[in-house]
Amino acid sequence: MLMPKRVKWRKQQRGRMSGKELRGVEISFGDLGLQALEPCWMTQRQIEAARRTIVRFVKRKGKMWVRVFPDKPVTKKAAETRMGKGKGAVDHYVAVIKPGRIILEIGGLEEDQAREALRLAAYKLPIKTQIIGRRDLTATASTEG
Amino acid sequence: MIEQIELNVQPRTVVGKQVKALRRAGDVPAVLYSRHGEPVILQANNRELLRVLTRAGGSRLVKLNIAGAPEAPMALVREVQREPIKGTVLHVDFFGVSMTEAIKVEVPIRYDGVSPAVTRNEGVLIHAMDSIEIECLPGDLIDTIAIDVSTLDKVGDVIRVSDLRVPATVKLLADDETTVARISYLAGEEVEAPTGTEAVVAEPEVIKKGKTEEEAEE
Repeated sequence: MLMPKRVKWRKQQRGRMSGKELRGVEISFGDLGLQALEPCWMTQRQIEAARRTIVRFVKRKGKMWVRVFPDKPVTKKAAETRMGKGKGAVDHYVAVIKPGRIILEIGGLEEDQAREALRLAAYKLPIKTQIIGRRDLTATASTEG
Repeated sequence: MIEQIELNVQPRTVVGKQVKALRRAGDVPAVLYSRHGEPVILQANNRELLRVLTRAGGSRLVKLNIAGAPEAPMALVREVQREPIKGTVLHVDFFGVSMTEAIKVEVPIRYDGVSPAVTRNEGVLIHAMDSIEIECLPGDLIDTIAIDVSTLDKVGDVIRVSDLRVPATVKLLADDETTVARISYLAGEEVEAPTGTEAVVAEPEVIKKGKTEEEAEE
């Protein structure tokens, strides 16, 4: 499961997810990508499930890039614990996703195959997404997922 | 002879947050700057601008017909700012060029043909570069650089910058040894981890502040 190897602080505050993402919003490696349309905390399990779906679908063809990493620790208090007594223990890690962020990229496949793989992967994610192609200097918004 | 691309633009008076109203009205803010002279702020019709951007890209000269100006400067599209989700154009930078001064331009690379290794399902073609920086006079600009990937016969074959063919008037600025395209191994088959018995999740190491004991002794 994806998680950081080393952290500066074991626990974090929750923070806010307002506005749109400004970085990581363009396809950088592959031909098609899955772009988030809503904000969310994407867990390590959700990212792994989407990745596995693509790996299973494309077999040994093509190449895939996961553009997000769950580096934010989420804490949870043990069941039936009274409030107080400090912050709970780290339960899992999430990636903070804001609208516009490219989550997955895929390359080296036929377009219809790549679209199908991303469509199936999108089912594993907790937010609405769209499939987009490369937007170089000239291209306009190309696709809807 | 390559067809001349022209764009009608108007001088802009609206700046700052007020340009939002400009965009709502169907215009896109733009700026024209060059090595010599002051920058000029402009606005262009969105639909006309999109048509020009599609044809010109970043590597073809555009003649800017500025309303009320005596001359129509030649320019390159330097940067296009887009809204990240819808992809609508928010702002365009034009770089005015002098026809006697060499310029540096990013030119897209076009991949022609199909690699036999990909056809045989042995590897996957990786486009390491989508564009490359060149230096030349504006009159000698080229639209694209085409490379034939059908020469990549087996996994590990690469096309380097030194393999690219360009006219003598054009200088490639990337290092000769830089990889442009290569055939990479296919992803290995995944072995599914047994479900139910998940491996014990290791805790991440916490970076400690200050010197460690060994460092302190030194």
